[in-house]
Amino acid sequence: MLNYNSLTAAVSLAQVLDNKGLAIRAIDGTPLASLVRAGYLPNPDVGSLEMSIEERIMFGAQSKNAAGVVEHDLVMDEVLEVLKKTVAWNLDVARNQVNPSVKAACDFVQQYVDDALTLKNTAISVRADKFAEIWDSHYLTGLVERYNETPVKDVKLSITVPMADGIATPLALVETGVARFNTELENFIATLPDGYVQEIYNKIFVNRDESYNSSLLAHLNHLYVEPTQILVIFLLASRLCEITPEGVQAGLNEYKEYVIDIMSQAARAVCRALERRESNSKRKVLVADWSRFREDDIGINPVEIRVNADVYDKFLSDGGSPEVLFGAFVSDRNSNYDILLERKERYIKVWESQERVMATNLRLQKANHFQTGLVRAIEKEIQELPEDLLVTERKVYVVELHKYIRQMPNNWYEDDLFITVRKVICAVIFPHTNAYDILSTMDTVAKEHPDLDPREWGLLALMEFIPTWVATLITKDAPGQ
Amino acid sequence: MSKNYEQNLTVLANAVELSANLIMCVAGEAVSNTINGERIPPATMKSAIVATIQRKLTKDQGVV
Repeated sequence: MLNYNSLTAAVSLAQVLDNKGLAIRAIDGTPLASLVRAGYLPNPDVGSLEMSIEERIMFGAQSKNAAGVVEHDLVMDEVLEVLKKTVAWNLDVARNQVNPSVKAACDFVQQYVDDALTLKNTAISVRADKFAEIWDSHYLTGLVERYNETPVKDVKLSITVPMADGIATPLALVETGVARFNTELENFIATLPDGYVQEIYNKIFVNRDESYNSSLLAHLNHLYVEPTQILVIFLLASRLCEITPEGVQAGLNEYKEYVIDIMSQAARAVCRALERRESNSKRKVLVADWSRFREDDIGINPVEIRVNADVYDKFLSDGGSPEVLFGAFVSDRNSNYDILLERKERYIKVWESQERVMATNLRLQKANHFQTGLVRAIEKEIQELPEDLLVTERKVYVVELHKYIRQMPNNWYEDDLFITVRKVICAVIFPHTNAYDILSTMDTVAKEHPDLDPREWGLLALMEFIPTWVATLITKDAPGQ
Repeated sequence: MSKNYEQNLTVLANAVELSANLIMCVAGEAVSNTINGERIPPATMKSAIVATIQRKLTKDQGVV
């Protein structure tokens, strides 16, 4: 039935319309049109003409049909039954499908863009090859100096030496008979990443797969490996000279000769590393390697300039900076310590200029990253959409996505990402639902009433969303109708 | 009052009634049926409904 307070609530708006000479009607075929028709009195019963307009409307909505049933009530029940399910389904889709989908897509886009921008931010860096304290140990010098003149011999890494039971801890793999040196070794190992010593052991003594480089010299080449690796190989081989783990696939003499060869070659390489360190410090050799990349690679591949830490520390204290090296990298790659400092202002200017170009590129690229991230994120959501929610083939959604993206403004990424992604998902994947209106209304209500709980936001949102939808069932009558 | 007034009022009264009934049907299940533990008085709810309808009619059709 029609409640009187619904009528009185509508009076003021009806008067406003009347004062402007406007007429509205329910759009044919809608639930509202069915309701209006059910309560309409085309030929007023006797006596209704004397009623006020309000009384006539109430009278019509309460009148019974030939079967003695109030027609308006009957239609209202039928309409509510259908609409209630529709609204509940829309709420369910909005909350349990659209919202998680938007969140996942936002996370994807943000991660995609962050990854891309991180690459840009770390586009160029300085890596200081620092010698651990153990390299200053006189015990170490004592252990390796007798191998200083050992002739170079490339040992083919062919014998598998399983890690002995019970000595799998890093220290046990490298310990010596000298207690004080073992303490230094323990401190040295503490500075290494977890599993580093075991990894080197496996690389040199265990792994024999197809990709494996069997040349010992390749593992000791200072151009490609850090001094730490050379030292650890020496320590591991020294230990293996003292013990013979079970399961070695060679005779005892062959094994002994094999590990002694590895140890002596590694000891010789440690001697060279010590010499290079001293020589580099004396000659102020700052740059160990300008990296294999060129200046054009900045922003595409991470460029890492390797420097000798001992000299780099002095370089910084003498007024140098990473930017001086960056400037040299993109210009003349001059490695001379004194010239780098002498021309440091020029190198910094060169680098600043390069940075400005990179910043502009970054801004231009940012738009591309967001665009690509958004497309990939929503394509992923389309592929993961449950079968029962599909209203067409997945490829049709993808076509719609690309169509939608094309008409978005170029600077869309400057807006709130969550709202933008929601718009796209609702327009492309859920256009047949009212999810976007429901969620947007919920946002507005939540901002207005942050103290309420989400279910209360839901009620206030419905109070806005449902009348808004009902109003779409009303149209303005053409003049003269 | 004109004939338009009767027609307009009929449409609007039914729109308000339908909106209010639909809100109350859904409330209590997927969303709350109270605010701060209190039910919203029907007259208050209907007044809010009319304001929303008026805003929508103004925005979409410029009728008000």
